[in-house]
Amino acid sequence: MINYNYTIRRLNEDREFSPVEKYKKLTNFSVIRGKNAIGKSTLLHLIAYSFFGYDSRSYESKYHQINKILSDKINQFNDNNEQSLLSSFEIIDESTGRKLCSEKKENDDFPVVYEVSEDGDKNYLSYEKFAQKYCVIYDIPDKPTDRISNLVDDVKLINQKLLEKIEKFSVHLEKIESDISNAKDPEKIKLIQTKIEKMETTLEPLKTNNINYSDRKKLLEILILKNDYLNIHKKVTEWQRKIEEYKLKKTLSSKEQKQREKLKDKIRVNYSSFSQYYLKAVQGSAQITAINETDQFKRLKAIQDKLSLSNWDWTSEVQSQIRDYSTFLENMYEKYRSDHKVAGIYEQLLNLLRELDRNGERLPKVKLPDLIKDVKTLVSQHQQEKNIAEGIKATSTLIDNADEHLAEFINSIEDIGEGSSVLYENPADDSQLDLAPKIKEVEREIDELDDKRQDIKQKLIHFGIDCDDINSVISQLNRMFPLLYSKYRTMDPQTLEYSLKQISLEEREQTNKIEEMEFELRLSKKQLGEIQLKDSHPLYEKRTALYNLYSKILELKSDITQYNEYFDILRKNNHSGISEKIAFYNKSISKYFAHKLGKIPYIDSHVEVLEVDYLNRQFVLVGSNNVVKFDYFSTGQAQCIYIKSLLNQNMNRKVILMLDEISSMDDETMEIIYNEIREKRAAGQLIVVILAEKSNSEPSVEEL
Amino acid sequence: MEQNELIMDYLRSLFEDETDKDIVALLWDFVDEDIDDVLDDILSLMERTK
Repeated sequence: MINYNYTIRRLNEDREFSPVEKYKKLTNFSVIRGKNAIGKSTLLHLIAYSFFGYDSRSYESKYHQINKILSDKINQFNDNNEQSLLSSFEIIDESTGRKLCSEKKENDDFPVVYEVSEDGDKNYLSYEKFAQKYCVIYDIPDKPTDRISNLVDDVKLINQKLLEKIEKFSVHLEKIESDISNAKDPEKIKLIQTKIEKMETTLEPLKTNNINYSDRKKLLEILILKNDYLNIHKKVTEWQRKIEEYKLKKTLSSKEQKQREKLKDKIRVNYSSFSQYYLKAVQGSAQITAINETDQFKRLKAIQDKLSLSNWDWTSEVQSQIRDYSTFLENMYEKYRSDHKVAGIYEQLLNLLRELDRNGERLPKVKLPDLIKDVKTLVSQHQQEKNIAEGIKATSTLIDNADEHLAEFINSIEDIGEGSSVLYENPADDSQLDLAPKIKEVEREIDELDDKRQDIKQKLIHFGIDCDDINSVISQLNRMFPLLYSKYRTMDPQTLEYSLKQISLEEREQTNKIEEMEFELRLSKKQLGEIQLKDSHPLYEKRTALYNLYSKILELKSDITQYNEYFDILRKNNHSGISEKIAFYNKSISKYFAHKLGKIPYIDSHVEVLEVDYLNRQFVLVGSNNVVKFDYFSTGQAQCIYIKSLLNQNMNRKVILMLDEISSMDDETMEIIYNEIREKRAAGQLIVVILAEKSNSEPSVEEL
Repeated sequence: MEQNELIMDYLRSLFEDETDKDIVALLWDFVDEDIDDVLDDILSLMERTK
């Protein structure tokens, strides 16, 4: 039984609508007939509205099956500016005796829905609770074949729901996996322990090797420092020797300078002597008639023009001339020297004759005075020659003296080894020989080197090497590095530097490696400690099965996701060249639709449907020539099919079924629907069925 | 046929492997509270069929 009442007050029109008194009670299964505008549809709209028809979810097949084209009419009751609504519905479930009620008072925003048990207990229902127990189907026949697509939507939702469950389940598995991996894991413990052992085994020799690197590096650094020290030491010694040399040179230079001045004096003296003897020789020669007209004398005289102290180019030529003239004089002297002897004899003879004459003695046949006179003439003649010879001799002596001084002069200029200008330099100018700045510079160098040497010495002391006695360094190194020293001792400085770089590089790499390993080792030990403290996971033993299950779940998920492409294909209406997967899925979904429909009216009988191939828009029916296109079915038949499917998908909830304008279906089709309703009613699955049909006769309500 | 059975048939028909069919059926049935029970059932199923 349905007891109801309502008042709709149209605010703009100032009118009220309420049901006719005699129709305020209806049986749960009724057909209402009558003309338009008698309130048939209003009643159906109000029932839908009163049981959550205002909630948009009611138009999703997942919850209820209210045709969307009716939503505007149902939701008109929400508009409080246009009208106010008071309503109450009480539906008594004939199979349980329970009441399902809906009530909206004037100030309520929406109707309140509740159940009343046979004992009178009220149980208010939220949308969700209502949807768990009840399903409102409210439809109006309108090209129903097309609306078979709603069935597709159902399946889409099933798939979606399944995917959601799979997703939830896979998340659950992931969490379990994560929990297991975070729980005590004997296998993991063993792995970490092995890893730790392996790392410790690897680390030990690495560390030892690193110490070795350190020793080698230390030795190389010492050897390089030692070399530097020795080099500096050597340089300092060299510089010191250089200073000594400079100082010595300075001393030596003073002596040489004196020598040089002496030589210069000697040159001047010899030149002067030479030139004096030469001039005297020329003058002497000019007095001697026997020679003063000779070519030899003329050549000697010509020398005079060449002589100069400021130019020494003449020396060899003049020396040659002088020596030639000397030879000439010697020859001349020899010539006049013989006549000189004869003159002496004549002179002795004259003296003898004069003696005889004085003594008065007479010589036979000789007139003594005449003889004395003749001899006297002879003596006079010979006396002139004698004078010439003596003049030549004197001149010869002068020339020889000149030659001697010229030779001394030549020797002196050769000794001094420089040009004639040397005679004109300032003997006091010895700036070129001032070595003091150089000595200072060298001493500064030595100081700098000494600083470096001290620095190196300090570094060596830091390494434990005393280099005061440089010779003891080798024995010190031999003691410090008994095995290594022999390897490096003969290396040249470049190789030492290279080796140090290489070893430093290797050491750095090794140190980094050791640090990384130690870090990892610490981490692993910490991890091991943490894992050992944890509790075991109850599913630890099943972890492999869980892993396999997870893979399986992902496969299932992938399959469903691929099947969902079916809906895209439908939407695009392009199913040429569909994949095997989609063809397989189409088969499954077609069978599902067929199961939902069961038998359908076809031509003049009811036929079992094997498949509803929505993709190809055809039915596969039992029997031969069994493929029938959707288009071959009449609207009524299609509506029948659709309604059957609606009823068949809500078997677990109590259904409120309302169909408006059922006159579009013929009697035979209606009979099928009536039978379906009767069957479901008998099974207690229907709580209300109200069918509305337009009729030109008086309003009537007939129980189904 | 019950609605749930229909859906179950549909879901089972989506897979060829019997274990897959059973797993999907178990998954379809699960609600949040019994997820661990479903997991046990599925693990047992896999253990039986491996």
